[in-house]
Amino acid sequence: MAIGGTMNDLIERYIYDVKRRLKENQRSEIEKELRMNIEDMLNGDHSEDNVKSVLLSLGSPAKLAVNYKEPQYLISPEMFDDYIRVLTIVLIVFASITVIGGVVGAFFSTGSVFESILEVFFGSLIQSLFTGFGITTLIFVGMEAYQKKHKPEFKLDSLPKVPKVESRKNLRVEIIVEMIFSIVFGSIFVFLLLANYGEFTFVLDANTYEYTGQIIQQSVVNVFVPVVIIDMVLSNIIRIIKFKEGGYTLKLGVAYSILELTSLTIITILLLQPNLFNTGFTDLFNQALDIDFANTLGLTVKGIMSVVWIIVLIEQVVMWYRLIKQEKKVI
Amino acid sequence: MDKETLRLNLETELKRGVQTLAVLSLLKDKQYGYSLLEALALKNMNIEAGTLYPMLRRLETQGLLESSWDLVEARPRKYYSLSQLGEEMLDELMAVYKKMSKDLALWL
Repeated sequence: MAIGGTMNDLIERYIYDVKRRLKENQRSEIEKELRMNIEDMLNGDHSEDNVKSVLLSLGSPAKLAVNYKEPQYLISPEMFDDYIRVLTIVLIVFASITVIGGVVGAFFSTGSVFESILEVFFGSLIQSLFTGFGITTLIFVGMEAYQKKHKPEFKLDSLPKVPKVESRKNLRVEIIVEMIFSIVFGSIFVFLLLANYGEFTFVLDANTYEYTGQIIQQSVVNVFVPVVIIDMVLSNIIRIIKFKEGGYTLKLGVAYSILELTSLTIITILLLQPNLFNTGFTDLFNQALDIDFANTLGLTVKGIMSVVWIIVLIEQVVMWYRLIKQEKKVI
Repeated sequence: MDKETLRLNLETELKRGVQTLAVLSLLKDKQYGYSLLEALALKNMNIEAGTLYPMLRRLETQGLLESSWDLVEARPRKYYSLSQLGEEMLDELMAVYKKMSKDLALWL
């Protein structure tokens, strides 16, 4: 009796293990059927050996349950390679930015260097890696869901053109990565601009200095935010067309240059305004640190803008150099 | 992967398409899962139980099989048999299979 009980228990455990992997509405019917099939296979012999051999011949519950289901996945095999490539790049860049940010932060931190390192590795690094993983996965799951819903028909016209400049880099991966960064950093930037609020308290030489309120002038923010959003949308549209065209065409190159230079010019004009920062905010630092803070901040902004201009100009030169080389080849 | 595993995998792959044909053709008369498994084994068409049972459900969902529970006997049993669509499909698949084996026999 004891043996019979154990053997029935084994059967119940097997059925349970299959059942728990199935959809709710399939469970009772499949359970009934499976119980019947096992009983038939046992053919009245409930001995330990027979039960074991029958259950083994049915194979692992996980595999059996899979056979009952339609194949399911969040990211299809067709997209998986691109997913892994994009994910690798995103994670490497996110990790680098966090580590660099952490090192810079450690200089200003009041804690020990060891504490700062621990904080970077176990706090920010893990958090930023999960964020990168989450965003990339969500984008791919979204693309997959779109394809599943609309089942776009394969059209010869939709084949991407052979890249004009031969490159080992995968154009599709490159463009998705660029889009992820443009969306992530663009959104963070817009978010910070919209928040535009800070609380500062300094205690220096027994004097307390406080400032609570806006950091950047609202009038600047009002122009800045739409410019950043429009630039983000347009540059991503250009990236999608670039992917379809297999690289930059002359027209696309012109459009990209105009967009980049115009938005950068507008941003520069905005940032170089003398009243960029709220006077209350700069006054606090003026008093607390006894320096011309507005001037220092102005110089920093100018410095950052110069670096951005240099990077953008180099990018433009490289793009046009390649574009002209490729156009000459075509002719 | 060793040679034997590779051969077994290729063999399974080769047999997979014909399995459906064999199952459909044996279900002209109604059968329950285990009796079908035995009938297939008798004809040297060994399908694993873990493959056959889910396959029957799938074919039923596709409308090729009909099923009914027999509650009269001591143990309730679920019987499967070909539906109208299943019969038509079986005829068409048989024609495809015969043509394919004839064509292949000419040059394989």
